[in-house]
Amino acid sequence: MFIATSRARHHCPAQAVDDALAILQQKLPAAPHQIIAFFSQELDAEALRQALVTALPEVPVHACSSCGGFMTEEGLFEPQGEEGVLGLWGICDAEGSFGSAVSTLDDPVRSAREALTEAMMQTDRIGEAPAMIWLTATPGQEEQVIEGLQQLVGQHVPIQGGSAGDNQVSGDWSIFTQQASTCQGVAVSVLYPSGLTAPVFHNGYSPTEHRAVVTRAAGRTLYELDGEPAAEVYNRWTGGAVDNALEGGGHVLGQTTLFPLGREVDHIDQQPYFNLSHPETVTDDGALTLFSCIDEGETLVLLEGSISGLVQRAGRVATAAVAETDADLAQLMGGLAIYCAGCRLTVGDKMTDVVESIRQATAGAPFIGGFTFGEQGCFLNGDSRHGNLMISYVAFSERH
Amino acid sequence: MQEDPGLNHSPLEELRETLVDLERTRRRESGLRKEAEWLYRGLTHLTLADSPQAVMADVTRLLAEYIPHDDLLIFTPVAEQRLALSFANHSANHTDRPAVLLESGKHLDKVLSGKGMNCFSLNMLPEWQALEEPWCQRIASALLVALDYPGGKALLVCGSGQIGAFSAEHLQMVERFSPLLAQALSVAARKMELARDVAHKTAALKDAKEKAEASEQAKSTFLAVMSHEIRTPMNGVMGAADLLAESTVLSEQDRELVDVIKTSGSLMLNIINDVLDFSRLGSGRIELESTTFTLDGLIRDVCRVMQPVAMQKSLLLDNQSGSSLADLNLSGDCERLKQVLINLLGNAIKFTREGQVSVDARCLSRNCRQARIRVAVTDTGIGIHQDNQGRLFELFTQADSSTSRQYGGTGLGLSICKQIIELMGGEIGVESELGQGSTFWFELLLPVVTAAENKARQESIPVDTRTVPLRVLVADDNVINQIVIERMLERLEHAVVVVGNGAQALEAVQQQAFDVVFMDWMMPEMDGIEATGQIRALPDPRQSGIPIIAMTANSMEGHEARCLEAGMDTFVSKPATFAEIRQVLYRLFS
Repeated sequence: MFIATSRARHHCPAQAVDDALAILQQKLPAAPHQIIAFFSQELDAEALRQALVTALPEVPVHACSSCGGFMTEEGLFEPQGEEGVLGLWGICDAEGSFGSAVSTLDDPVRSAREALTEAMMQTDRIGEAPAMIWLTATPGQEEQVIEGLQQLVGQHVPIQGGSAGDNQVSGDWSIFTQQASTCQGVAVSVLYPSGLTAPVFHNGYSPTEHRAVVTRAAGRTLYELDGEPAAEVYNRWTGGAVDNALEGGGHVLGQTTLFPLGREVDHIDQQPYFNLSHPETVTDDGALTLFSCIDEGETLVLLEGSISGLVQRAGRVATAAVAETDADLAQLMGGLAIYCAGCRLTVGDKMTDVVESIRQATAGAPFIGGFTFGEQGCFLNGDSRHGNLMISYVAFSERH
Repeated sequence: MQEDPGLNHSPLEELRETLVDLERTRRRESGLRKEAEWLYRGLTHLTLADSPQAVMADVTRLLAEYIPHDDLLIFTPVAEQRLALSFANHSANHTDRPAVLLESGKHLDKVLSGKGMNCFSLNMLPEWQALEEPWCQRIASALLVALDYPGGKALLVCGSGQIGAFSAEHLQMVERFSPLLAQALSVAARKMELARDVAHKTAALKDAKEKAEASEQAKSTFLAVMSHEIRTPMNGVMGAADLLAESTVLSEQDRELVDVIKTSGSLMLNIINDVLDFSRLGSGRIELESTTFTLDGLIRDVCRVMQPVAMQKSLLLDNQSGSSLADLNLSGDCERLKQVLINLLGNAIKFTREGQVSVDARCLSRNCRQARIRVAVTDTGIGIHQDNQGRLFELFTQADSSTSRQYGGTGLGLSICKQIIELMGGEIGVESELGQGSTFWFELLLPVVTAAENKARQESIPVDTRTVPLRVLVADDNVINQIVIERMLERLEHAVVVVGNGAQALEAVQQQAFDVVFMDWMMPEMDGIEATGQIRALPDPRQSGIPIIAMTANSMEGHEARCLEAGMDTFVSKPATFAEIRQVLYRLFS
């Protein structure tokens, strides 16, 4: 098992692919068996796909647009003007097996099942549970996507990944695999590496004293908390974090990253453990839209975090993932990271510290990390869920 | 809320992350600890299991604690790329059911090569799809792991009725557990093979034993029938000869002829008795009796019997036993010892043309409780070659085949002697030189009877066996026997009524008063057993309580018990002598 990353910045997608692939192939001992990629919205997904398929027609490719660039062990890589960025993560593992597929159907449950089935068909592991499923969906229906995947393989296969992002939350996201690209769909990869994998995520926010019952909600729109307009309640709790949007509505993503809403999903040492929802906009009728679904009757707790917490969390999560493989750091071959786009925007120029914390935790092992609009990860109790403001890392280690 | 919320890292936030990491570590360690305990318990359980079924029951129970599953199957190798279902949950697939076969292909080959598989949908495997019902439908997802097994790799299938029921951790557990399971199964399989072998051999032995028993039974029945068939006419011959001998009108010449009849009859009875003894000894049905006797008396009695035989061949029969034996009261089966000694003396006389036959009995050692005695019979006869001495005591064996032609005999005598002496815990042997004569000896350890014990016993022994005149009913279908017994009883001054079967006997006791009934067993219309039962059931106690003496040629083991069970009081074996008739009546009416 061998992992390497490469990156390229160019206005031309084909050129970006050529440049990045040239570097990747230099680093890898042989042609990769799977490529996972992040790119910025400046580069056209379909053009990237065609260039990659032309260069590597037999290799499963799984790519996802990322908010404002991506990171690798070599640092943060951001678009500049019209020049977009492409990052490739390649794995050589002749004893492993890999497959990727995308589905563009409207029904997210069915889409997920079809994409997963197609991905597994590409492997020689029919019927066998993969070590994990790498998921990138376009934002909006990730809960149903997970449901679809689990209908097929059950609850025990870890699902980790993130939802496609763009630079302005303007819907300019896209995903692609070797078969097709789409701006609305599901892309999955099934990973059967010969080594060990451990997907881990953190969302270490602290609960405040503020809590309320959801009295009115629909999908990802939260209308009322304890019978009051949700935006007003949230603004009161946060001391005016969304003041500017209360009248007439507007995007609040950057202002709410440190104050997510949480739902209890587990307890650790009698401390509640939360799945997070990140407020995205305030609507003109005083509701909050979130990056995850909410149900009436659920109790929401206001959580709080800090920038330094978001910076250090990335390294912590990588350390935890390496430990989870039961392997030494020396056996770590590489990793896949997801960093919530909201966190990335909030952290701002401290993103270099984020990359450094991961590099230190993983002794510089190759990794690629995308900035996503919603994250999927496996909780401590084994449940794979969709949530927000997650920072995650999948460690790939050689077997002992 | 903070004015500038982002910059200061909240210790609470770090604490929560640390808590989560700690919990993750704790859960992992707890899982590993549980698994270690689980493996340890598995080791304990599985090493104690004594059958593959027990192994499977333990495995199922152990696995169920950490890996919920519905079915646990093991397919064992039967041929290249072919496995057969050997265990389904607790039970072994019995060999009388058709084997459930699984053909190994690309996917299962990989599992069998050692790469465990967590199969979220077993039906997606082409190999599994080919498996017959109900297994191909019943298991939706499974953990597939190879097991080392005698003759190749076996396949463990830990299955669930649900899709995707297992995690990677479950697979790791089963993989770690599998060497232990393989070892336990292998041991259990060897045990099972051994048990199968044992069962097979036990069945063969049982079969052989049943055949032997059937053969033994057939032999016993044959002997009983033959004994009856011979004894019945012999009863007539011997009884008639007894009566003739008592007659005063016989000439000396006639008397000699009568003696010949009696001697020949006795010899014939001896042969029958030999055969019966052999049969009883062979099946372990001889029970030794215990009476008090002196070795001195026993030797003298036997010599008195054998003296005329020796004299006929002009041989000297010399009793060299020491006089000290006269005071030594022993307890044992006196009659069987006499039988052995008569046999040894008979042989000695038979195989000696001239010279003498001597008996030497002595006490080798004694204390207040027991005495070791040795009796030796020495002759100056033909002797036995060293090579043949070892086989002498085997059944139907004489020194060589010409012996039986020249001297006669069944070849059973020494074998019977050996078995009787060994039954008494003693030892028998021979020392001989061809042409110089032989010494046959036996040694025994017998209980000593003290003077006080002996006196008490002697006081109970009757001396005068005469009884008052009795009214006797005889039931026997054989006319000759009727005459013989009638004459004997009349000579003893009893009044006799003779009937020909059980029904007549039953009628007679109801019509006339009798003191005793002599009842034959085998009779037409109604046998003696049935008649006795009916007499015992009569309402008049004077009739139903009448003493009944069984008198039959059925002298095989168990016949006496059968007669007593039917309600008879005692038993006389045909041919009965005068003395025996008198003795049995005395016992009943003294």
